[in-house]
Amino acid sequence: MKESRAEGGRVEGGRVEGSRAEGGRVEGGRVERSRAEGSRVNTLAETSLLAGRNLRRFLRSPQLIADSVMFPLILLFVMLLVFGELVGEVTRGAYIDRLAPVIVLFSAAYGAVGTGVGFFTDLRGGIVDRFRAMDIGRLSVLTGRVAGDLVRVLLVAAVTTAVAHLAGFRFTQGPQAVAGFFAVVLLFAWIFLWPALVAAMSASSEQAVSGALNTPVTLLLFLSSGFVPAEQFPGWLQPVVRANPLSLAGDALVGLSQGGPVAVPVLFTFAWAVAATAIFVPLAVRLYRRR
Amino acid sequence: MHGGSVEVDRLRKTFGEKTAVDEVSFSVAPGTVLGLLGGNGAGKTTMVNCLSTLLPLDGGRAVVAGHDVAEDPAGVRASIALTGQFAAVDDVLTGRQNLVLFGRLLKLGRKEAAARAEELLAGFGLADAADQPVKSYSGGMRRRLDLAASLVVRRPVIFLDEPTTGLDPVGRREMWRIVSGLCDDGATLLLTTQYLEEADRLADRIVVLDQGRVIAEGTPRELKDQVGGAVCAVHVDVPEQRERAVRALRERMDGVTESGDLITVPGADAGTLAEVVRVLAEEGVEPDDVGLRRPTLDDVFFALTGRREDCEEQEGMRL
Repeated sequence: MKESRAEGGRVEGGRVEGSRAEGGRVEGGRVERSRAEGSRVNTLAETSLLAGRNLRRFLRSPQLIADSVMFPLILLFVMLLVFGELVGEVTRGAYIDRLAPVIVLFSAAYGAVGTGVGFFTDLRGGIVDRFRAMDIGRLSVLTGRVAGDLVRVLLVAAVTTAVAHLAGFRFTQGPQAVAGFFAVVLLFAWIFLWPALVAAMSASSEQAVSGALNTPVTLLLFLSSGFVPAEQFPGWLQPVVRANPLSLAGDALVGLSQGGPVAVPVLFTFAWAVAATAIFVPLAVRLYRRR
Repeated sequence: MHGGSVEVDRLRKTFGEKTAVDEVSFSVAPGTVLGLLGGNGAGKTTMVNCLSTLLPLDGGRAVVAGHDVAEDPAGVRASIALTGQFAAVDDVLTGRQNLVLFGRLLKLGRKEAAARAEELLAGFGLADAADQPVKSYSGGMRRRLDLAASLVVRRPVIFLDEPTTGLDPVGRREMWRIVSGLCDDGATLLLTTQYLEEADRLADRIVVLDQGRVIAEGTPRELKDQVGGAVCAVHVDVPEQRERAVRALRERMDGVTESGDLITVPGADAGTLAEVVRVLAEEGVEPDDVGLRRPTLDDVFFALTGRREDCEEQEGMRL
């Protein structure tokens, strides 16, 4: 054990401490580089390491996978069975064309609940404190969490889309539109990720985190034009339904997969993302710094 | 690696109305071990969190390995290893994946991180469980992994916050062995504990905290002298038998005290014990329990503050 320690010291002396104390000698070239650039490179590396950790956790938790993939899919088929014919007649289109995008978006928003609960668990378990006491970028923990969860959203969206394909959902607008489709899904997920982090840092229990996130996500789903066209809602509710980011992003996805207006709904979705960024990113950063 | 020093000068930390750390000063010389001894809520963890830049100070000054905690937190973070009270590792990942992750975050290359993980797993008795998810680890294994995770890159100053709380005696002993190894390596250690025995065993100097204040400081020996060392403890439930025992013991020995159903006689050698047993037998007293008892944190507090604290009982040396 003694020997292994001594060896460990050598490893470190050559590189890790080296880059700090004896940097001039060992890897002078790298250290000489401007500090700002260096820290940006580090932040990027740290973010991807921490994102990788989050993804690994997700892929190793069958329960989490089942929940985040199965629930939206069950919803997809139930809705298809219950409303399929009814709504299809009214909208004169295959219901799945409209439903699949909404379910993909719901899976993204629902994933934010997982983000919140996962981050809360990290905060409670002390691993965030460990990261914070290490000399890594102050915000890498947040950026790593967001980056990892965006990739997770993309994975879940791909699976959901593939299953929807079996139910008749098709991309008809070419490969660029497919890329745009998933880009909108990410943009939409972004709107929910940051509030989820804020909830995780302000809540006192895991139940409080999922409670605070589940309700708005579910409400947003049912008050959207996804299951039922906006015109079918009572008049006073229609503005809410139309302004719902899930309706807007849903319109964009329908446009990108089936054809129809894209620019306007994307722009509105983007506006939602900007608003969420303006409010929740500074809030999340402040809460994180203050911990 | 040579240890760095820790200087704490009138450090203060409040949470709203409550003062968690109140004008605490101490210093840890390079390469030595300081034990922060105190019960729950004494301010030990707050102290460690302040020194490891997790909490901002509300007053005073602290310098860790030459870096001011308030002015150069990044410098402090680059000089410390922290093992908190919770096993702060990822329980879904395996032990090896955890160590590699921390190594990579601390800028080790892929290969170096893997090699260092391997060394640590072997050195901390985790080689067999290296590729098991941490979820399946025992409490002791988790703690060892947690400590290993903070040592992936070696630092001049190591903070250990209650490294053995909640461990069984075997786990505790294993942890002591590992921590002793760190001391031999020349790192500076600041260790918090609720156990006098642990501080005694591992620390060069002990600072006793009570309600955020330093109430005593010194070497383990100085502290134990203050407490009075080990005693011979006799439990007698029946009051009239107890009175008889106290009377008989006082006739023959010095410093016999009585509190509740417990009679204590100073001195923890076999001779004292034999003498006590003989006296009791002569008087026809049937004690419920006779044994040697080492002073606990409870006794330290009693000696220093005159009041009894709710501290975890330590395993006594019973006969």
